[in-house]
Amino acid sequence: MLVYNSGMPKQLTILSAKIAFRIGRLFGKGGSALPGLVAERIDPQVLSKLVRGNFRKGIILITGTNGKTTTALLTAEILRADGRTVLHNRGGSNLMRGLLSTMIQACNLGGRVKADTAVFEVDENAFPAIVAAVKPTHIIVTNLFRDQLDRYGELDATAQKLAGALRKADAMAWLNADDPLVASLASATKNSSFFGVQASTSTKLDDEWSADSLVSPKSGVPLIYSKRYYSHIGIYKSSNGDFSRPKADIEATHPQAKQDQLSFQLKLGNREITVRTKLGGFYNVYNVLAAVAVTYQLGVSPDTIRVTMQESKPAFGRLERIDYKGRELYLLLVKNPVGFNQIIETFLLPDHEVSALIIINDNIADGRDVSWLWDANLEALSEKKRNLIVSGQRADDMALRLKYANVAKFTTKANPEHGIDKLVTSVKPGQKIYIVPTYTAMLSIRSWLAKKTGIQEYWQ
Amino acid sequence: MIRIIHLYPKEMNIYGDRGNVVALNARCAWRNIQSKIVFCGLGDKLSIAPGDIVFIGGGQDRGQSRVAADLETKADVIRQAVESGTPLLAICGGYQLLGHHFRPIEGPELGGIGVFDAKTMGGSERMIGNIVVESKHFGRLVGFENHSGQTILGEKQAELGVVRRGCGNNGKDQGEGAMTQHAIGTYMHGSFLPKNPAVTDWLIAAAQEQLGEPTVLKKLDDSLERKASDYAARLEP
Repeated sequence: MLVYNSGMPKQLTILSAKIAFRIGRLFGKGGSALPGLVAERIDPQVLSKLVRGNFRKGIILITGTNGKTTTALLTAEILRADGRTVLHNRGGSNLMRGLLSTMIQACNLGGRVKADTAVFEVDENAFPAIVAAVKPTHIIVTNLFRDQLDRYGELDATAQKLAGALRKADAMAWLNADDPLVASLASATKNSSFFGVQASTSTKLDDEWSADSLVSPKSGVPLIYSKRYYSHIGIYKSSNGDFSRPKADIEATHPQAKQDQLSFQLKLGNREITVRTKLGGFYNVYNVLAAVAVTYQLGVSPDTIRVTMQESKPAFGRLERIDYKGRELYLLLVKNPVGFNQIIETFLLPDHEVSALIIINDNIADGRDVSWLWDANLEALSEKKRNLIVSGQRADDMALRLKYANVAKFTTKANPEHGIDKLVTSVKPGQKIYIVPTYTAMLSIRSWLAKKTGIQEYWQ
Repeated sequence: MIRIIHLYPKEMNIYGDRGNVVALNARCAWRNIQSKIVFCGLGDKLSIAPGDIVFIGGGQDRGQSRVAADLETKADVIRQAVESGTPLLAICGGYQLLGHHFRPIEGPELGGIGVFDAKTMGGSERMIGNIVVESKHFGRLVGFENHSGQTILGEKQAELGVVRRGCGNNGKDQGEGAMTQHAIGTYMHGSFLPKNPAVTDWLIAAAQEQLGEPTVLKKLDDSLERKASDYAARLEP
């Protein structure tokens, strides 16, 4: 096996890792972590060495519980439209090794990357080490929700980790004003701005069970919400006045979110623009807004931003549409209760008849603990006519969840592909089928659909 | 009428704890036993009457010190109720606070209310994973544990069961949970009650007994529960 040797020339480290990447491809894998693993074994400092000297126009890190992949994709698209060359970790490989693999694939043997800007989504746990290694110029924190507690631990602990990293970073931070825990991170930053939303709507779903930050991060007294958009996202102030939603430096107003599009108004400098995208769901207002905020700060013109957003498509597995046997399949990755509630509220509730396949796995990347299913409001599905199939390693747990939510009609299929075929035969051509998989379930069902339909594998 | 009293729902709800309350309520409803869920939070007055089932879940560290202080004001009511046979379920952090104390590695000690003869010490390693327990009362129980606190029971304190897979109270003595009268404390979530309907029904029957209602409950179709439990019992810890 490879021996630790930080004295090895950088070129040799890169070469070994590139070979590992090629070998991975031969076996038809995305190989997103292997080259990184090889490089790291040879030289643990390799990421910071590789990043140094590259990306003269900036390094943007995006972290938070939900929305990282979409925000990173939109940010990269806007910057490219502005004429920059951007390196972006597309596969969602957001740990140290994933970033390293992205760098290894992109650089030449001398370590040069043909990109003036880096846009990396970063896992919350990996964030402190990655901040130290890459020294970002800009940071976005999207939101903090309870998520895979067996991996991440408690939310407060995650927030403390992020705060520690922000304290040491010399970056401009964009924080979500409407998430109390994220907003409270401002005190840990040298230089921060807020993005936020002013909307007249509040959540229709009883989703407080997914909320962790309904108390002041300062004193622990309850927060009072004048508007609660979803979970603990909204306009709030603490009952003793020690903490309130900060004024947003960039603020979306009049948001209109549907299943397949959204729009909002925005003041950039003295320009008033309307941003429209083909992404659906209110939660995506925040992802679009964060991408707009950081790119505007980097000097992209409002017109370029507006035009790029009109054309943008969802990231893989995130509301991604795949046409299969004449039906519209939508992949809606689910990771945690807040995400599940957003999927329910946006996609599964409004339609009269919904066809959906829910696939719950419990591999490490999904979270081995499936308790979170009980924090999502599946009860909301009990009243309407639905065509539901549950599958995945923990199909029985999902079935039990639906039973106790009084959702009477659903079936269980051991094999998710059979679930899709059953739904396809039971709905008319042109109708929508929602697939709601956890992470590893999404990778495998998407791969299967890629073979069936000829869409690209996610790493291509 | 059975009242399911959910203590500190905002602070103590971390690992899908709500599922336990949902399960109690549903299994009453499916038998046409009238029930309702009542929330009792910080500063709220707690009174416990015959027919009540008390539930407390786990919480983040930040929430727990405030909860410990508030629980002290409710201690007499809870202890008396448990002594007179009120059913109670406490999960993880809630279980710890129902012992004598929780001593974290760092920071101040949290006082408990001594429903269980148990003491908890902070540990440096987190015990995370699937857990299978064999209980004399209930047979096989399954769940997921995630705690760093190590709980040691007093000599006369009965445990809930013996660990077959996983860590349990402290990862050393094979014991898991505690049981006093009709009160159960456990580290198992998952959520705990949905996959362990024998415990759910035992709690409901205890409430029925307090009400003077029939304690032999109508049988339900538990095939889904069994399937999910069988699957969980095969998982690696």
